[in-house]
Amino acid sequence: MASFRIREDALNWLSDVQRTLPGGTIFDLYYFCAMAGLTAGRSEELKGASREMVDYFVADYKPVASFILAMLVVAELKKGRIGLTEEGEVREVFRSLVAGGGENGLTDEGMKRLNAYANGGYEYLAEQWEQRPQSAEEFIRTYSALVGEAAESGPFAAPG
Amino acid sequence: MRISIAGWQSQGLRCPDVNVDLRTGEGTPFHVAFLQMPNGTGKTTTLDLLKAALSGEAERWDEATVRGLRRRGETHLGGNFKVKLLVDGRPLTFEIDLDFENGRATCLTTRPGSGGVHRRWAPPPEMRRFLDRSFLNLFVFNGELANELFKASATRAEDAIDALCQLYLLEDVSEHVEKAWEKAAAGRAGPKTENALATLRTKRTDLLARKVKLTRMREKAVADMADAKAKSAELEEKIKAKTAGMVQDQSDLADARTAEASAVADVKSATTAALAAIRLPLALSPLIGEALGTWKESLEELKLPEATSAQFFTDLLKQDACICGNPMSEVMQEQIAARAKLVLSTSENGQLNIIKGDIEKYEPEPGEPSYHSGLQAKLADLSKARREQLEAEQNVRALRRKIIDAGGEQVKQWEAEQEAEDKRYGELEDLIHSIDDPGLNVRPAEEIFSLARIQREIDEATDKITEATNTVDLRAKTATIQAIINRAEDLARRTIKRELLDACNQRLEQILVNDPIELESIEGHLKLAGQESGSEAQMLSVGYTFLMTLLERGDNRFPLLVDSPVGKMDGSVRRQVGRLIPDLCSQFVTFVINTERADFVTAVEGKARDALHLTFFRKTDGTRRLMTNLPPGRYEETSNGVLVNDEGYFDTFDMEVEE
Repeated sequence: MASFRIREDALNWLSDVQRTLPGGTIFDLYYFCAMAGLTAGRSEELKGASREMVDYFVADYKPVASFILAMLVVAELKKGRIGLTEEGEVREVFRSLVAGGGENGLTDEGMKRLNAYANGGYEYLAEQWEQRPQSAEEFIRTYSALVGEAAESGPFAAPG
Repeated sequence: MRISIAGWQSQGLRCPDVNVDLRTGEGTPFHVAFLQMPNGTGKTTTLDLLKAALSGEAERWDEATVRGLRRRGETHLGGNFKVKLLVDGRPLTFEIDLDFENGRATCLTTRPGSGGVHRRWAPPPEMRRFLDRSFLNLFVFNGELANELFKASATRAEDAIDALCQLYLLEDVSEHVEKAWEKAAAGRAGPKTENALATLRTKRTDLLARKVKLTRMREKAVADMADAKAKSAELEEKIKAKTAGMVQDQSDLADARTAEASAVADVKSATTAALAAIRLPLALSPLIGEALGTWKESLEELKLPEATSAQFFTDLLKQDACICGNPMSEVMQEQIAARAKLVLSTSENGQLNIIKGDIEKYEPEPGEPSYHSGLQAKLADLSKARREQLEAEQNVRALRRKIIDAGGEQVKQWEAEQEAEDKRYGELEDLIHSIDDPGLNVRPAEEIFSLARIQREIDEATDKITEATNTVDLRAKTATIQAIINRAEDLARRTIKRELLDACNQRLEQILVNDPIELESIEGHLKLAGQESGSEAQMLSVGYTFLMTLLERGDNRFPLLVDSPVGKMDGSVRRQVGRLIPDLCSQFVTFVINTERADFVTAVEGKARDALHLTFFRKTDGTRRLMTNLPPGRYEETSNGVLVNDEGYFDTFDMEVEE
């Protein structure tokens, strides 16, 4: 089964955040990147050095796994310019990304795409920060604002 | 290997229908077979068909070529040509089936010993090289070839050596490796030359050196930071000791530091709370919840998850009858299998149900604050805690300033030293940050401190070097193979020529004992020793000797099938060449017209072990007179041709051109 992967660069860039994040884990860093990528609609296949993580949603994220899967599906539908009512295509995208059962509910392709969004999200965040974040509290405040802004024009933006 | 032609059959083609059998009563081919055919009876067509059947090239004929073989004015749908060989006494038949309607030619091969009839050109593997068109031209040709071997402007003699010894295969190998190199190089980006490779290697070496330098720099910075921190702490202790008498101020500072610690703890607590809130994606933006809600509603419209899963259709496929009661037909099975691929599986449906359920579960009740506003409240708490922390830090700094100002010059000096150490600490920290930075936004001329960036560039250079090294190495290997091939071809050609010259000259010494002549060289064409040219008879004799010596290399024996072998030669030449040919080959088949008979046929007969005399003419109004004196029982008549097997008839046949 495929695993969550995060770029080594991203771990370096977020090292101070991890160091100062109370009870924080490497999965938190992955989540920050993945959410940034999904909301901004940025995905980039992993190419360079990356770290293999677990192949399941850790305890803190298990309860919200469904949202992450759903966000991945919606982002990919948007990316493929597929309308939500295009029955065959919607079904096809869902089947390609989401697996019934398993540790993480993702197909190998789904995991690959989510890792790509995490990678794209890291690049998006690194572009927005002048210097790498020095502390978790500073990161969380700025991150929330950035992701909120990204959502305005990304795959989750209101149709208009 | 001994290859002989046992005969051929033609039916429905431009040349008249005929069944030519070149075998004696014992089944072995006649040493010599004359086939007298007036011009226009189809000699050239027959020669072309023989070559096409033997080489299999008929499989590649286009529609026009196929239809061109139908007799003009006729509308029949098909035709057939068959050539029968004996290979070391075993039969082997090549056939061309012509479909005039569709313009297609099909080759058939019959090998009784190995699998019977093959509906394609399928000679035994060991025979293939002898059936190549260029090789066939050495033993199935018209009489002009022997003369052409001497033409200085032509390379027929050299070509003949190439065809027999298959030297062109070496060129094919050379071309093949060249193409393989081109293909490999085309698929690769980056440098392909030694210079470019050297530049890349230098770049990589520089990068590796930079990486080592930065790694050491970082290690030193970490150590220096600890030193600066220790010195700063030491100076702090000195300041504290010197100002110990300022009891109230020290007490205030201690309280301020406690408040600062409390503020730090509050920031941590607020950060923890914000982190807990931020872990719910819906909190990041109200738009996320709205978009997921819209998606969930669209799933309702699409009736997903489905009431019927793929498993239902898969199970149904195993039944003899459909649920409607009708027996399961092939069409129904195809439809059901296709449908099974379209619907979600049970587990996929299950997962979709969970997702939908979770989305519903997290939909806030009317009047409840949204998760997003919940996060915003937590972030506000965090900002407030951070502000209070900054205020506490400021308070500590002010109280400390008061103590230092009152402490005298020594304390100020220590404070200045401490500030310098703290500054050093900060600079080192910045350096470490630069080294740890991902280095995504480095400007072109900027010095690179990011180890991650350096590593990426090292990886990139390594990839390019690997690729370029492979490409450059491949080029060098290609050149080596081609040099070996060229050398091998050159050596082989020279050795073969030398051996051939020796063998030809030995043979010529015996054959032309009264008219000695010698071959000097084979440089594209044949060159006689000591003379520019010889008599026509000498030239033809040398030409045939060269061909047959060449063909017999490797202990193989081939038939010689020649159309018009003597052409317009005078009688003495015909006699000389005629006496020569039977000694040169194991089977000689020749197409002649009545005017070529004189001198030549008699000369050949004189040297042949046995001879077959066939006369073949088309049935037309012009040849009706010939039908009256056919030798009884010695001819075969088809709808459009007559083949006579009779020496007397052959000798007296007087038609040169079809009438």
